Amino acid sequence: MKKKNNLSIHPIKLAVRSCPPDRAQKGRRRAAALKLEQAKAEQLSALEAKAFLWIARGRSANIELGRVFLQIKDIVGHGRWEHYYGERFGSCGIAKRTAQTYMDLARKEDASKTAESALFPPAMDTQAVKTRDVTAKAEAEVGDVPRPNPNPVRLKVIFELPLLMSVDDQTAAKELLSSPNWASAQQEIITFLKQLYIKFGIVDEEAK
Amino acid sequence: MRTLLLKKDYKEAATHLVGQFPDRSHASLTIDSDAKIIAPDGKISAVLLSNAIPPELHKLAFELWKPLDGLVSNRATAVGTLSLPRSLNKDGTPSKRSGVNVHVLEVVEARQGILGFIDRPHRKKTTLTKRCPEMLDANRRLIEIANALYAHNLPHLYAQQRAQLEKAGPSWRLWGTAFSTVYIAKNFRTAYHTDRGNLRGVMTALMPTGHFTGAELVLPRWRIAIAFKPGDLLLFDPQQLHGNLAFEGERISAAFYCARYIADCSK
Repeated sequence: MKKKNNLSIHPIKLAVRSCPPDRAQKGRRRAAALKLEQAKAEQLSALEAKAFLWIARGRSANIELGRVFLQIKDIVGHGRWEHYYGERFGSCGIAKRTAQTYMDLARKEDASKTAESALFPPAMDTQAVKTRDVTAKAEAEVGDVPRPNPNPVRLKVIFELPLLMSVDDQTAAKELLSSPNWASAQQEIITFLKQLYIKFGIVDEEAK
Repeated sequence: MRTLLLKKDYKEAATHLVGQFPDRSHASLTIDSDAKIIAPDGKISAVLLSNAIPPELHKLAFELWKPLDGLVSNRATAVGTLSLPRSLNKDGTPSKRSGVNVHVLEVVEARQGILGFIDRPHRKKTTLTKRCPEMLDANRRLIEIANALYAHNLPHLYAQQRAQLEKAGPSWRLWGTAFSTVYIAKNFRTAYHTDRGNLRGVMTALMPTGHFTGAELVLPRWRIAIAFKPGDLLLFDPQQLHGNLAFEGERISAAFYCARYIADCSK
């Protein structure tokens, strides 16, 4: 009887215990769903950013194409342009009117470039003027005194690159190292490394 | 939120503006409401989130940061001056330290401070954080909200930043956020400059607070001004040349960011 009682109590205990695993399971499911949502959001955001990059590239490609068409038009002459365009580029899928739009875009872009500096006159508010004046005075005060070079020359040193290479590659590399072509090869490797710095976001393109 | 695709790039003209003060005429477009700004090169330039920070939080921050007293002697470009010897010694020789000259500092009202962790010359908690821990700790909720807004609006950049900071370990993060550092600028109207100490390729979150008018952030390369006010949060790439228009009143702005080399203790 005691045993039976014990047995009858046991399932109740199990039933009580089975609640937390249910909740835990739900929690786990919710966490997994949340993680999935987050991953989706990250992916979507990255793809959107990529789309904007391609839209920008498309626009700058159109302007560049417009510039090329303008140069061609200069060579073939205004009167022959339309006929020439139809003959050479008509089958490329870019309508004459679209080409004209690209040329207008290029014209506008280049025309505004020449007037750009006039768009940024010096600020004339009190603080700007005062700071400029005091800077000029301070510069005059220390002007004759030799100043430290703001861009000191950085010494070049031998830098060892840990590359995992096959024995054959190592032998070839050693041969290149001792050949008279090493100077130019070294330059090419440095250039390639610089491209990698940009590719992997270590430096930005402007800083190269 | 609207997406604003900018079309014109004034890169060449803008490069000559480093250290110059912005003028209202330098921007042909002012943005003052929620917007995602895409530069002509396709990169996300900034995201403006207006009224995103609860008033009680940015007002508290203003009160806590008001006593800031650090001179801006190491920020010559942002002050709008040249990096010169700081002063002349008694014998007439220039001091060896260069930066903002003392005569310029006399006319500059701006003050600054850094909270959290810095990476140079080596990783450490900033002196200000040790001296006034409440300036950071009492703003925890604010920093966490800025973090959540960043994560929600630019999840892919946020993930990159967080991954970088995770490499550094939990002791160099501001709680569970993707920020290591808070730069605070008090009454600092900046000339055009870029921020070199911030992690590249990700965003910095800027938040102004106080009682002021003006101080729009001008990005001359795109000829835009961002009119952000207390309660707004601006996620923006600080590698872009930027500066502020003149302002009237009391203004403190905070930049929440990830220090550039925080994850790399070997550098």
